[in-house]
Amino acid sequence: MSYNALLVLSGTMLLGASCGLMGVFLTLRRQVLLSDVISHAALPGVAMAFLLGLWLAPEKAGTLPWLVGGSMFASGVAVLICFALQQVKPLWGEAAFGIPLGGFLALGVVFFSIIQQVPSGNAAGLEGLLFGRAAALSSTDVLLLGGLAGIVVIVCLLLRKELLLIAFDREFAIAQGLPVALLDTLLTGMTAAICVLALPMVGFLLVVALMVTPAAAARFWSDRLGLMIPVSVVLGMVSAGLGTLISGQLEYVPTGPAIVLCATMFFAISVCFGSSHGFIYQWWSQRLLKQEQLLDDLLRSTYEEFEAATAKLQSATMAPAQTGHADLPQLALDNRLSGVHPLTVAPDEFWLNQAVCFPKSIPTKDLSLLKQLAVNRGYLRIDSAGQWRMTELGWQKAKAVVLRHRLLELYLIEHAEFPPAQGDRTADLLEHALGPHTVDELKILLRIDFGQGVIRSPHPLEATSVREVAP
Amino acid sequence: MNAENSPPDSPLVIRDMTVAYGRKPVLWNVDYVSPSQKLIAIVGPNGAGKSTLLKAALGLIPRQNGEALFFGQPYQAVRQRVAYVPQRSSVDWDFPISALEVAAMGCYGRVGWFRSVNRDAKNTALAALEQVGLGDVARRQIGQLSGGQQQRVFLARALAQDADLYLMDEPFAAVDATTEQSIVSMLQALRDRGKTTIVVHHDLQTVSEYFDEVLLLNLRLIAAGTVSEVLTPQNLKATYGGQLSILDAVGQRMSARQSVTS
Repeated sequence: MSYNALLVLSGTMLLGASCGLMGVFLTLRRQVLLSDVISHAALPGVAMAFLLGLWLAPEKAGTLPWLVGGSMFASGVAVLICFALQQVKPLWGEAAFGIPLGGFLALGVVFFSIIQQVPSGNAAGLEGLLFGRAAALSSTDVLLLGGLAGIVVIVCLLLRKELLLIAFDREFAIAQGLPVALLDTLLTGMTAAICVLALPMVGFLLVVALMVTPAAAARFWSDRLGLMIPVSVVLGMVSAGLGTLISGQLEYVPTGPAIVLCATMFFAISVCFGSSHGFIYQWWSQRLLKQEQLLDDLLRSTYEEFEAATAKLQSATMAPAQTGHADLPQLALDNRLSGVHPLTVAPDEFWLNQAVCFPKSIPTKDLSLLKQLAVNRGYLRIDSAGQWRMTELGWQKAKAVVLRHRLLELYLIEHAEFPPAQGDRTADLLEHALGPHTVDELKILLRIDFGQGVIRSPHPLEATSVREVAP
Repeated sequence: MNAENSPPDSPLVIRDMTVAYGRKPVLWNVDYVSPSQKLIAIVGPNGAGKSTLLKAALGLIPRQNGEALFFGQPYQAVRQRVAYVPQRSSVDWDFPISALEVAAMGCYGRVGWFRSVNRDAKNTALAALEQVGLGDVARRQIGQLSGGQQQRVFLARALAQDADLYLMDEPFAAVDATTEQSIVSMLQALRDRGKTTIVVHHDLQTVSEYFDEVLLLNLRLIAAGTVSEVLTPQNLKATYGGQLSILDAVGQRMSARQSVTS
């Protein structure tokens, strides 16, 4: 790659980055249309500068500084007209921007048609400004564009805090004594500058896309501005770089569309996989969460299977009155007072040697995946005889899950006056959202303090049908 | 009125203030001297100009006439001593910013231009959030908070500023009863620390329970003073009764006439 090509590439990447940065402020301030106005007004600006140049200094007419100056001037005028129109009563926001946009575009097309009639007009290379032609830039052009863009980026980053405040809460910013009008003007001016500077690279039709797309894509990756800005900057930069390279390989493709297609591709990826709002990402994390819940359900059902099995064993030796579930609220109180569940007095090792039964409440389609997950987590193991057994870790986890469910159930019955059956169902729904902190709070609230034990279920456990014993 | 509350030291003095939106006057000739270290409510019917009074005093909207002095000085000179809490509905809660970052905005005045928010400011903001009971959601994006929590984030931002006068626009709008209670106790704690708070309030029922002083407003100042002095049947009738319709009608006629002639 030649020195000039490398310079052009780094220049376009810097411009892409600055477009990404300004785009964040544009989208946050809901002023996307503003950049549209700026870029469309640049068209008659360029044409006028060219015609004026032909008349004043013919040898400089087509040069970049001359054209950039012209488009900056026209864009500035357009923005002023927009802001003035916004103050006019019966006009609404979009019309105040849309009308100057159309007017300037029409004016630009008329000027361009005139230029086509001028002898040197065809050779001037103004078409490059429609869709961008980075390869046509000279090294001095790139240094000029890149240098100016660099200044804007630095100012923007220095004023990050203030620009953020006026975008978020204008009234508060005014009350804090920020010169809001000045900052507004500065930000709009900087947006216009970047817009115009990016024109030779992207072309006036697509410059808006390069500003808005990376910023919109970045929003799918983060809810925090601190992360959104770098993501947008990087996306803008990479899109610009890739687009320039592609258009360098396929010379008949203008730079602008190549860049914008790259940016659009990144946007599509972000919409799908963005780690904050990407919908495939969200679907995937929902799925993981669901698996987590099913795993908890599996452990809890397994524990309760054990419990029911022991109850059968013990009922043979115990008085019938102690196993009945006559008066439920009374029973709940008993639980709290007696604390440790009588059935868990048996040593944990005893249970670790029992075969695991998979209850029917777990859907068949999830079962094999869940088994795998439980083995990976170290909750379950298959012994040498091919029998499913709980591990020490699994048993501790199961006890915690059961305790969490029963605490919540007890709370719903005693404090929220749920009927016991409804308490169980509601606890099924809510328990997965309980953190350890809330569990501790529940223990204090229900005055249950007995170390690591599990309390008895407030409702009678129905013997669930067991699916299988062997793997 | 004792010496401590005399105008030069008063947190807020409003002299002959008239405010117009467009051409329609919404506040007429308000004169008010606020006592210090009190919890003060601004009460009046919808469209009485309650929020306008605060905004015009702060210079957020232009005054047609009159002046507002804070601690005896123009607002520009004592900005850091005055904290403003706008209505919750005034901002976009989808903004990609955390509760902590919003609270830290209260420290911007101390941080200064061009600098990024430093550790000191972050700690102050976090302490303010903890004070309003939001310590554990400090890193959340503000849109994920409930309405009451959002209101408390605004409160935390004002607390982080550590001002002497707090001006709050409808802090109880659309918050639940528990949040309302906790906000009130925070305001009372501020008063006990020697701060003054002026609150735009919409609920006449709770005025005497929450506040020390009250300011009755309906396009003009009807009465101001301690709650027991001001909340008389005559004053309430003047504020909420029908007599004001004439003033309102005059305002509307003025606006209509001027828009025809201009």
